[in-house]
Amino acid sequence: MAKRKAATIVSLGLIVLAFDGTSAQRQTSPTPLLDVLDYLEIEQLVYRYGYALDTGADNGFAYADLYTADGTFTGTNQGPSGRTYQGRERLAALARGGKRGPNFVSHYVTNVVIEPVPGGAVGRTYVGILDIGNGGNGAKSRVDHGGLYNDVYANTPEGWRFKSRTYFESTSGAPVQPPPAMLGTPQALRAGAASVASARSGSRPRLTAEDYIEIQQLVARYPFALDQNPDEGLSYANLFTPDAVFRQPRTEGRQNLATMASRAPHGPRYTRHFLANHVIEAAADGAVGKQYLVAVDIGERGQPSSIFLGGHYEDVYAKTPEGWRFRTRTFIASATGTEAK
Amino acid sequence: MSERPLTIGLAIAILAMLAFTVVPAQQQDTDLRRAGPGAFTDMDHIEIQQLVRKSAWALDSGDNYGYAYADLFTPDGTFVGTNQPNGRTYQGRDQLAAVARGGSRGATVQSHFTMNHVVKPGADGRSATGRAYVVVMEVGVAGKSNRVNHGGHYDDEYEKTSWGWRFRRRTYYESKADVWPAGTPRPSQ
Repeated sequence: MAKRKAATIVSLGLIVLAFDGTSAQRQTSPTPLLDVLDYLEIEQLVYRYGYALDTGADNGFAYADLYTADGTFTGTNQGPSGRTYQGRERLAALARGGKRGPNFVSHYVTNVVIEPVPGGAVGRTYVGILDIGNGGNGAKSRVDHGGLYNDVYANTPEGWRFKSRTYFESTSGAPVQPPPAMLGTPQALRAGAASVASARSGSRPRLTAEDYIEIQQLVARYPFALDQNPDEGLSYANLFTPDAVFRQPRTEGRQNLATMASRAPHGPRYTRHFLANHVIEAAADGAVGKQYLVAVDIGERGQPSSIFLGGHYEDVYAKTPEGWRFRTRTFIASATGTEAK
Repeated sequence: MSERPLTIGLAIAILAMLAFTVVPAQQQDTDLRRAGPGAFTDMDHIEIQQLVRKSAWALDSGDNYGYAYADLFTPDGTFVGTNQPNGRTYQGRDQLAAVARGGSRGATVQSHFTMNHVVKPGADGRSATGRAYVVVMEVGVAGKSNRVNHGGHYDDEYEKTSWGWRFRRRTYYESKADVWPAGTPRPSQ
């Protein structure tokens, strides 16, 4: 009996050791080096980029100020060997050249992948560069070009900024060749990355990570509620506060919003409203935000697809007992213009 | 003692029950995110966002002979392309890798633009569901004009594994409008 007891104790000890071994292994693996707000704030930086470039706001300096003082932008598609712009003046000049306007939308950024590295973070994003006709006119809109950005981000006293951003044009690709040796397991986290100190201070209104996420989710639900509309506009209307105002066409109150949604094309598998570049900012009594819209008529049964409408939404969000809701939502069609914001 | 305290107690109990039962969907998600240990956290949400975004990169690049894509799924993970003949299903690492290396791929191929990602936490903190729009573009393809090729949405099931969040199942549905308002021109179909 005593022997059996001793054996049990030894077995338990081994099990405990085995678990200890696992936890020791976990401790040696790199810990998460960006917190939730870091991810969200870097994402916000990435989404601001489109507005700054397409509007040319502040004579291009809104764009330049998204970079660190020594930040660089490289366009590998410019000239035979690419071109690099460094410093505030050169970056601002870049952002005020070409097609611009306070309501012009062109750079649609998605698929933002962010990874921690020693001293900061790196990221990569897709960018679709659309030429949206004036007034959001789909018939005069087209996919101009597009590709990817490779980014290095730095956390500065003013918040996250681009240390470098490099654009690569999308290409045809090629058949995939087998690698010399196939890697069998998922990639491990980047080793040796250091913790990133956060620069969050000041007395301006702030949003928590939960606020950002819930507002992101509110906006992400919008196209599903409108395009799929499973319940005669009820889900759509419930994204708004009871006294909300939607503009173009001006529509007030949940009943009218539900009616408006039900008059739009819809179906359980319908996708038309594609939203990108969702910027969210804290406001005194809630939050405000904006996103780019491209409404695409996806060709059914192999027919060609076409752009129906392009522009951006400007939103005011309210935190209600039911969660974040739209208080106002205004669609502004894309338009070019030389006037700086 | 009168019956009053009992009545008040009963009323409080009923109100409390109602508070837990009549909660809008978004509020439920929030509560799950804020609940105790083992529950769905904000970082879980971020990691699922990252998973969905990485899947576009892995699919378009064909990285690691397609296994970068396959490794975003659980070992028994499934992709269903309902737009393919008979709604083809691909299950397991090798089949999924083969999907991701089919056709032309590369580090600078940008085709699957995912947007509108909605995440719904599961009750156990280790599972979740989600949906996302995807517009599939042809950009920079030699000999072709840049254009939207097709698009639709994904319905996803996610699972938290020892490697992090992974797809347990992803189903793609091509866009299709069933209701079109009378009197407005319908695009070619």
